[in-house]
Amino acid sequence: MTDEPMDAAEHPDEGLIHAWLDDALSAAEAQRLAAHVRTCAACQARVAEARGLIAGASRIVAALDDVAPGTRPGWAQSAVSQGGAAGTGGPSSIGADPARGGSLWRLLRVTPGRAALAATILVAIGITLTYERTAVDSAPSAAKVAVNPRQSDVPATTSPEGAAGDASKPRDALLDSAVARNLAMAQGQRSVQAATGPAVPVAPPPSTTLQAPAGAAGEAVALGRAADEARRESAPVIADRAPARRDVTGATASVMPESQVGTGVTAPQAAPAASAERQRAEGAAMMAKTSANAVGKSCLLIESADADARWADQPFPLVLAIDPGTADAPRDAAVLTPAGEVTSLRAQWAPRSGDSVLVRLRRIGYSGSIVLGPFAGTRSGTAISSNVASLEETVTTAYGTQARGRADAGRAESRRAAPAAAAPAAAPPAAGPPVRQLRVTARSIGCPQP
Amino acid sequence: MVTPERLAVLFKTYHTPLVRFLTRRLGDRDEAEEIAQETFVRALKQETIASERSWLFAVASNLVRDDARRAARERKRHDLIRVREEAESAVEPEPTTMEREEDRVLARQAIEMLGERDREALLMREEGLGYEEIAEALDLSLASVGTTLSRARRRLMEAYESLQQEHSAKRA
Repeated sequence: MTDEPMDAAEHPDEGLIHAWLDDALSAAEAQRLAAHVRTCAACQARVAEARGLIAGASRIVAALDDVAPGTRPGWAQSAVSQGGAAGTGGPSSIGADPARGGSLWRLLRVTPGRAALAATILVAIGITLTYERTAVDSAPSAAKVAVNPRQSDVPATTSPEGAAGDASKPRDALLDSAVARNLAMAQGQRSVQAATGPAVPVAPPPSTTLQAPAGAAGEAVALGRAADEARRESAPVIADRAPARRDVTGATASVMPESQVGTGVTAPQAAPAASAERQRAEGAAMMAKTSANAVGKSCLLIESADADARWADQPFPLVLAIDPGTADAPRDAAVLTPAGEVTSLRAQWAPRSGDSVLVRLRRIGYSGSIVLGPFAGTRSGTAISSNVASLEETVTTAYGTQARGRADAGRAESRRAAPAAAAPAAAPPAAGPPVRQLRVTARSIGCPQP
Repeated sequence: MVTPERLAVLFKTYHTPLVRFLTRRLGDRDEAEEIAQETFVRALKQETIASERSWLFAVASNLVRDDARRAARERKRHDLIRVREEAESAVEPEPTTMEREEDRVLARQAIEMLGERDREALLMREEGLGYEEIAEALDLSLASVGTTLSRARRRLMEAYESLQQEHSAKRA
């Protein structure tokens, strides 16, 4: 039968020809088809076309891996030749030209998009911290910041305390006292940080028309209201049309035109009541709208029951200090010790579907993440991390030596026994901690103070 | 449950091809590694995995599908920034590297023009998965894998050639 030519009805279809060329047919089917092709010119042409399609498709798919050099900024060129095994642990670097190795972008795990996002977040954090500092700084320093953040001499710092005010500039006593009163009001509504500067004057009781909002978003709203109060209180010396600027937390603050700072310029004493009321209503509406989706800084304590549990090279428990932002967008996070000390790790907090969360590790030379499930009082999930340059070697070692917190005591016992035998035979790990995969829990805490 | 030792073997064997498959699928290496990592995390939760390679690729494909919208936004942003980067690049690319970059862009556009099933089948085949594995990963019948691949290859070639002609016409 195999020697007889097929009739028209038995010509193989295109799928069968591709399966034959992909060596996916049984021996009998392949032999029969080969015999037919030998005697059928039309099918020979179809087979030749199929070979071309297979080869062409393979070349096109392979082109997806090819990123040509010279298309990145000049400063990144020096990193191009730093090695190809960026994250794969193997000689075949993915997404990089084998001839020139991996790129600095990929080695740092900092994509251009993430770098731009991180820069935007840093700017927003700087603005937010500038306004936050007005609630805890001494009156003169804070007054300067509150009046004109753009002209502030206070150095950028991540700590809300310890703002270094510059007392050499002339002060406006009336403005200072007005801002000081409102700072005191804001301090009365907040309990996060204690003021470290000189004592402020006794503040009048908070307005009964303003209720103290709760939670992280409430802090932002409180700041905005404080700024609003400051703007209204200091209307005699500030033009009644100072532009309002909103930071990422939804707080609204006024930005003083530089020409009016400390000049003692006196605006018209009687600002129209309707205008002020309209501004207040607009500000409240804006704050309500933005604060609904805005979240302030928050902290999570992440713990693991495993012995010698670490994320990259940092031992658990860890505190994830998540930057302010919007609830449904990724936010940068600092990784702290429970004592509030900053570690060398950075992370990105990214909400996922179903209220789960992905926390990506950012540390040169390491790859890792923490996947947390939905919130139910606490979150539970899995943390994984590895040294980037030695994945293959360290995986074998790590999973032979790592203790896992599993419910199955028998399996746990066997695993504990296995490492004792496996460890001596495993290849010595490369520099840095091995691949680790741990069960973790996470719960919200107040952010620790260093 | 999959033991840590078994996972280590799976990781060592399939991490590289899985990341490459995902990189080709997504056009984003970082995203590919994250999804690959999540795939292996999920493997830990399995009691047993009969056909490991097809299971891993199937889970990875499902994760890509779940994150398709977010991945599309990331790719768009990267493309925009890359275009800006190239405009500001201090290095003048050589003609051959420009051609390769154009090839890659055209390849990316062509592969995105395929249907999702065709695209996944083709990329899995390019990673060396057999017809049985592809059928299991994509829930296809074995007999239909060849048809799927032939269609995917033909459409990919046609799309690529069409894009190439458009590109050449614009440059002319």
